[in-house]
Amino acid sequence: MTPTRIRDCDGSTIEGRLRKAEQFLEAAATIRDLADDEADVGDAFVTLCVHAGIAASDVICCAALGHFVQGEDHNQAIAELSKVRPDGKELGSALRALLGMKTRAGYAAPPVSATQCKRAWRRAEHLVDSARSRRSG
Amino acid sequence: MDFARPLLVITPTLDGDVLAVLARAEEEFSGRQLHRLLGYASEPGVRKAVERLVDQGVVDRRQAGRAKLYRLNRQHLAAAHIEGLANLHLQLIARLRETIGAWRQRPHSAFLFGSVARGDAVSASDLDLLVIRGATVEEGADAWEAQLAALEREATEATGNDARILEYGEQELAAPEIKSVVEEALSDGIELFGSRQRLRRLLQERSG
Repeated sequence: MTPTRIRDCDGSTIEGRLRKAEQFLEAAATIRDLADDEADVGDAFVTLCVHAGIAASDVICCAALGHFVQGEDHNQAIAELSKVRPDGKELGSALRALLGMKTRAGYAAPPVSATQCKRAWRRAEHLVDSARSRRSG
Repeated sequence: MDFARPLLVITPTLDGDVLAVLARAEEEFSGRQLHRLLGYASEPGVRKAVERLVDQGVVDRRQAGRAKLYRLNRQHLAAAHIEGLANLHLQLIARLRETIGAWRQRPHSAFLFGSVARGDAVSASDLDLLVIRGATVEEGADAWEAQLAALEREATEATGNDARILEYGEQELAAPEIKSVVEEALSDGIELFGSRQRLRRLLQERSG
């Protein structure tokens, strides 16, 4: 497991992580749109949504806290995001749900369901939208 | 208003900016961290400002070894008001979404873009809105125009920044100068209605 570290960040970290969040979300939308059957790409789609959500969470934490959590300690990442006002608790819940799908989409044998794809998209989109809204505010 | 420094609407002092940082997180900050998050002013100046706020009881101070840590006192009567002021940009986005979402003649999509969307608008900055008229809405239709005028007025009154609506019909998106504005909104903008993916698809279709 990668050791968890609290990383200080600045404007360039915020812009860089935001671009990645948008890139992952856009890539997720593209593979979904190009697939003959959405179920064929569900695991890749959800994995990209998870990455988008993680990058967006980093942006939100950087803007409000001046740091973000780097590493595999999901609980700490969620705890940091939950400190953000006014809606950190809600954002933390969205990240928790996404991270919960990460293992299943990336490593487990059964494919993710269409419902899980929809949920992953909704949460990732919400986190990326929140990141855009507060990158400098 | 200055979107990066929203408490300038009530005070020109550094104290307001320090409060905005403290209000945006349930977290303790050292004077150095506050200074870094603010990104301007001197560190001693920031420390003096936060100590003035401690004197007012709106900020709590805790000694941790040699460091002093500060956090907003959320039990203070002023805390909710300060938090509201610190997050005016989020309230603006919510209000614009609500207004456009209630339109009888719905647009294809609408975005906040430019410096306000990036969060670096100052009080003299325009508030840029992109509205894509749906294919079923006739250009210049009275009801449609009334919606746009009301939106422009509401956004200007809500912020003090001059709201400027760029309105295009779906069929106009093929023009290169319009395409570049739409691409800017897609790159930096905040969705108010519709979705980025939908507008991107439309742009691709119209660009052939």
